[in-house]
Amino acid sequence: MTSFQQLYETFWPRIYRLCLAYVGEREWARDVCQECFEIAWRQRDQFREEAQMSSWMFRIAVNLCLRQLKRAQKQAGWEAEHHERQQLQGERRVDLELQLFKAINQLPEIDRLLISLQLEQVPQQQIAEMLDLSHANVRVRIHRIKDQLTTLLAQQQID
Amino acid sequence: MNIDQLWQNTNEKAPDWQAFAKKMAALEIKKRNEKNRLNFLLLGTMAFVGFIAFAYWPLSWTTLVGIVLTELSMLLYLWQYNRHTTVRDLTADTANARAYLEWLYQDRKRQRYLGRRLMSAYFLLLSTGVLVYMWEFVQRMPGFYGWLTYGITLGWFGLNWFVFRPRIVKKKEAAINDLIDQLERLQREWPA
Repeated sequence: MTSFQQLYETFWPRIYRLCLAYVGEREWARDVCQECFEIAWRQRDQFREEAQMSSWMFRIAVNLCLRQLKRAQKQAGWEAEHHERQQLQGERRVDLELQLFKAINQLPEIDRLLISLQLEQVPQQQIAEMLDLSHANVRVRIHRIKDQLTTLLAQQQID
Repeated sequence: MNIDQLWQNTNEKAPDWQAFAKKMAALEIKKRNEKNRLNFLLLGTMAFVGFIAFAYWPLSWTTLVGIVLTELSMLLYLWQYNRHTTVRDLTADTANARAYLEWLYQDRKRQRYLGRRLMSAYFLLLSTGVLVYMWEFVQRMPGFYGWLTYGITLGWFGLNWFVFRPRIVKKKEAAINDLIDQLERLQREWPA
């Protein structure tokens, strides 16, 4: 297995989750994810050190997410997908996952990235560097976002 | 409710690696071929124009000036084209979010330079070159046909200059401006 193949298979699910939380639509998230790996492929010779890989991949993904201009009917996409999956699978777990992504998608853009990177276990110092924020700011915001998300999810369950 | 657990549960497998690797290889070949084709076409045209000068020597001074200007315009285009396809800013995609916005400002400047100044220089050189080059041959034509030839040539250059060029420049600038607007909006919301 080539090292880029390893990177591709290991990081795809992680980058995909980040993109999905940011753009809020599966097809769109796949497109962004694909583009992210295309950039990584073109620059693969530049980054061979294993230690840098995670931070490098996430930096590309963060920039790509910020580059996404609004698409029409984003919210409608969520609703349709939510309904379709409920019909097909009827699983509570899947429903909860969708609710989580929907809740993240309601946050401001920077907060979406902050919480997604945190949930992907990217060290907070690296998150701070990627988004050009102070470490303390990242820590405080993540704490607030988690509280906000818990409230949002609780509300969604009541609804 | 465990948010971390829910997050990790969303696990989409990467699409087939072989298909991805194949697509990347095909893209690389396509890009290389496009570049080679353009270089080959322009170099071929330059050689052909050079051959005309050599084969029909001595030429009148207008034809010679026309050939030199045309060659210069193509040389300028080739130089810029190869410079911008080989030197890629590798830091742009991996810079942090604020540095990325700064990079976009620079890129907008570079595109303006390419779209306005450089294309203007190229066009001016090429059209002047062709018009001066034609002079010797047009003089041998009956008056009406001479004017017609110049009219059609000028019309074609005018169409490119006043219609196609601004449209392309505008489209490219609009794309980068939208992106910058979006990132500036985000930056205003950015935590201090």
